[in-house]
Amino acid sequence: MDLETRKKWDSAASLFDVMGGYGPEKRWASHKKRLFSGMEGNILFMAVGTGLDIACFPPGKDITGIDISPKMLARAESRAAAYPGNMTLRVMDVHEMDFPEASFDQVYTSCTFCSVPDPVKGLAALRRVLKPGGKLGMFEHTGSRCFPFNVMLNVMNPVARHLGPEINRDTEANVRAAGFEITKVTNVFLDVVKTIEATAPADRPST
Amino acid sequence: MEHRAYFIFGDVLACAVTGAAAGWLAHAAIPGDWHPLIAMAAGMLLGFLVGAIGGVVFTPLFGALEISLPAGLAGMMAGSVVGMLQAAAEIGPETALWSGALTGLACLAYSYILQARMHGEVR
Repeated sequence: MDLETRKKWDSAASLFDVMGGYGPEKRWASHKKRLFSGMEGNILFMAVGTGLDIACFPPGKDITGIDISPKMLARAESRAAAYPGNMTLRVMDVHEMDFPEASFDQVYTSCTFCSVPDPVKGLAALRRVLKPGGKLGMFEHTGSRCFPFNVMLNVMNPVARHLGPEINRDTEANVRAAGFEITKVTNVFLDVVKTIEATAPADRPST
Repeated sequence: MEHRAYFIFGDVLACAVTGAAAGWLAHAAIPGDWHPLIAMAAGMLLGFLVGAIGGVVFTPLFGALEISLPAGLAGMMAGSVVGMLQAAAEIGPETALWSGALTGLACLAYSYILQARMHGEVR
């Protein structure tokens, strides 16, 4: 278990909903609902956090939510209990998931791979538990190619990384490096906030 | 492109207030006898700090990166514009506030233009 990452997000849990619970979630809700509307089968939701995304899930799905932070998950419990479907929560590090290979039909993330310390390794771990041909759906913020925002994100990243997420990652490249095939990218805000949809090829990763 | 009035109001408020605050701080901190380029750079640095604070203040109400990036740019640009004006002509505090606010709104307009061009499916 990555105790340093767990400690960082345990510390952030008390203020997480204050910072992200209203404005950001209200602004992003329609985009998240569109992405999550494709949920089918046995679903893994990685880094469920305090459960803010649960309000955007379609009803009646079978979803396992994991997060590295017990304090985040404690705040997600009431939201998961209110979900009109089957939802279970587990404390788990993406790098040490104890699910068997090819356990899930789909994997979803939301503002997650800005925070996983080794994103390619984390994505490869998701690929391991995803069935061949399974779908990866991501709502993420990334770095930018657009001046001057690319410079600003690079300058601000050392501070942001200390407080929580990294804000200049090339998540699309990381998805490809982990062996996924990207099928669709939709920009939500500039080229910074976006949805990424990908599939896991039939050949299994070596990790 | 954002069409919801609540979020457009939030964008305008965040960029105008952040720009005005950065302009006021640049006016208060930068002496009128500095070289304009040094004053501009100092104003940009001060504005960067104000922009970061503006992002934190307005994010909970109006959005995350949709607020913090334009507000950050508004702070930097307002600080540098007012810093340069201050060095060139020793402007008053009211002019610094208005110049900062207008610069902040210009930064928001720039981000809206970029957003209109980049929004949607790209692959």
